[in-house]
Amino acid sequence: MNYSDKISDTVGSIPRSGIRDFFELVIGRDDVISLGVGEPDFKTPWHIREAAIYSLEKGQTTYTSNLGLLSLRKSISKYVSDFFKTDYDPKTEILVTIGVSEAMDLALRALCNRDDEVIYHEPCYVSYSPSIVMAHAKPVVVETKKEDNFAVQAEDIRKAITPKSKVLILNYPTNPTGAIATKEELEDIAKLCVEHDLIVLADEIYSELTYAGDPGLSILQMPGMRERTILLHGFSKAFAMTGFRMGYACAPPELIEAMMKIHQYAALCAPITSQAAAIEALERGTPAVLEMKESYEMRRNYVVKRLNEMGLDCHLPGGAFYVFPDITRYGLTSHEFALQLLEKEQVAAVPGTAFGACGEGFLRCCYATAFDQLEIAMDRMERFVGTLKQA
Amino acid sequence: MEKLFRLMQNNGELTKEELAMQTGLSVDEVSAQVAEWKKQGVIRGRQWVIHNDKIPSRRIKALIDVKIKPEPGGGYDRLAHRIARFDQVISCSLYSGSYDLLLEVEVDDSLQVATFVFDTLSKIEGVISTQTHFTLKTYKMNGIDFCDEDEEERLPVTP
Repeated sequence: MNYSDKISDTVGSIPRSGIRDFFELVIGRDDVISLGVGEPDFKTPWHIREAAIYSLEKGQTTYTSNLGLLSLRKSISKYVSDFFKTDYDPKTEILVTIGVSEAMDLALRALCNRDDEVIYHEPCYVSYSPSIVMAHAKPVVVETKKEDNFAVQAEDIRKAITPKSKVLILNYPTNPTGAIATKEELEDIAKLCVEHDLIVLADEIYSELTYAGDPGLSILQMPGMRERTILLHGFSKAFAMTGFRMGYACAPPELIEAMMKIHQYAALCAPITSQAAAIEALERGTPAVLEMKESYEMRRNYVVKRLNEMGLDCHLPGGAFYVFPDITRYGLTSHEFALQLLEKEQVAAVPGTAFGACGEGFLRCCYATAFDQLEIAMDRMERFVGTLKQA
Repeated sequence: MEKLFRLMQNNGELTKEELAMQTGLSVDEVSAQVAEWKKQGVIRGRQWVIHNDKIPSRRIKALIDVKIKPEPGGGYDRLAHRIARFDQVISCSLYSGSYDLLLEVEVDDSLQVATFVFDTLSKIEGVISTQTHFTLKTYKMNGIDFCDEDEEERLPVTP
């Protein structure tokens, strides 16, 4: 059978992920130190796992409300109020989702009509463009630059705005660059959004892992933004709960209702065991988050220092657990550099181009790995760049 | 300095260079602080944490609660120090509650525990009573979990 005839044109048009290609080169090799992961190296704190076990012991194995357990939504409301200084009604303004990935997909599908334009900044998480395409909308890229520490500039967004622009996706701290935005930058973007009546999807998944300034700073708090922002957040990164697949969206009731319509038919509800764990995380998990954050910060400082010492120009990222060094001086493409580093020194780091064309010349290295492994990886990278000639 | 203290407490294997890297202090600052703590008696030594159940020549461990009679002037300290100095005793602390001292002893076999309790401990003037609990199995020690978890199940490359 010719399956390409059977698969929808929309899905057929989506290219394979660059990450996937690289994954296949690395998988099955046990000599490799991987700086290519996108998740914490910590196990979920034990008290959170215990809450999941307890929930199973009590026989909590049913569906929940489509919106998620009300008790969880109340916990989210309280947490978001403390952290982002913004109040949401747990009954109508919060939707529990299967990770932020689902929340992003729901938001795009709930908002976009065919050919609406969705603006997002690159380098970025790999799902944005495909998710926009799957919502039958048009992805519009705004590139960010090293000299701006990879924070998207309002002027660049302005140039991308057309009468069809409907949604702006913002992700701070940013995967893969670790970028954070200043209050002034967010204010300027907020003014544009109000002026052009854009809805903002604020992907805040790394916000707790912010090492400079106020971690809770979000475009959400800028004048006129609460009514036009969908806050997307979750548990994967800060609480080291990637496998629980827990996320949520906070937004005005009309938007949550629209997202819920899709969620109820596509997923029904998030798994109840994970929801029980999420309540525990919000109620008692913050000390563990702060401890993990301190550990990431220590490793960030070490890796940035080592990379700069070995001659790779690397800015100090303000958040997440990635560094994004500049490799252009060696005259290799990101892909060539990553491939040679893997072949010669068995260190896996992801080519910047996996996160958008403007990631060319950069490499994403995740420092959420054991300190002794990081030391070895840095030694190997140092040896590797020592063999390269500067272009 | 608190960060340095915590790192050292959690991992005795870190070198001064590693401690410096992880705290942002210089190697000289780390050395000076460690020397100072040694001088003050804050740092008393470092040891490996061994999972006793996994070594072939497994030694016997037991906890012994001991009731002792406080002495005028010295309280419990003099007697506690006397008991703590026996080689068999690997830890000794004073507790509130139904007994006073809790000793952990480590010896080659159970007979040596009995000998220590009956021939040594109970003969000391001021020891009122003892109760011995043999350690059957250890699950966690000095904050280190002995429950083996799957170490690296993360996929090597993820978005």
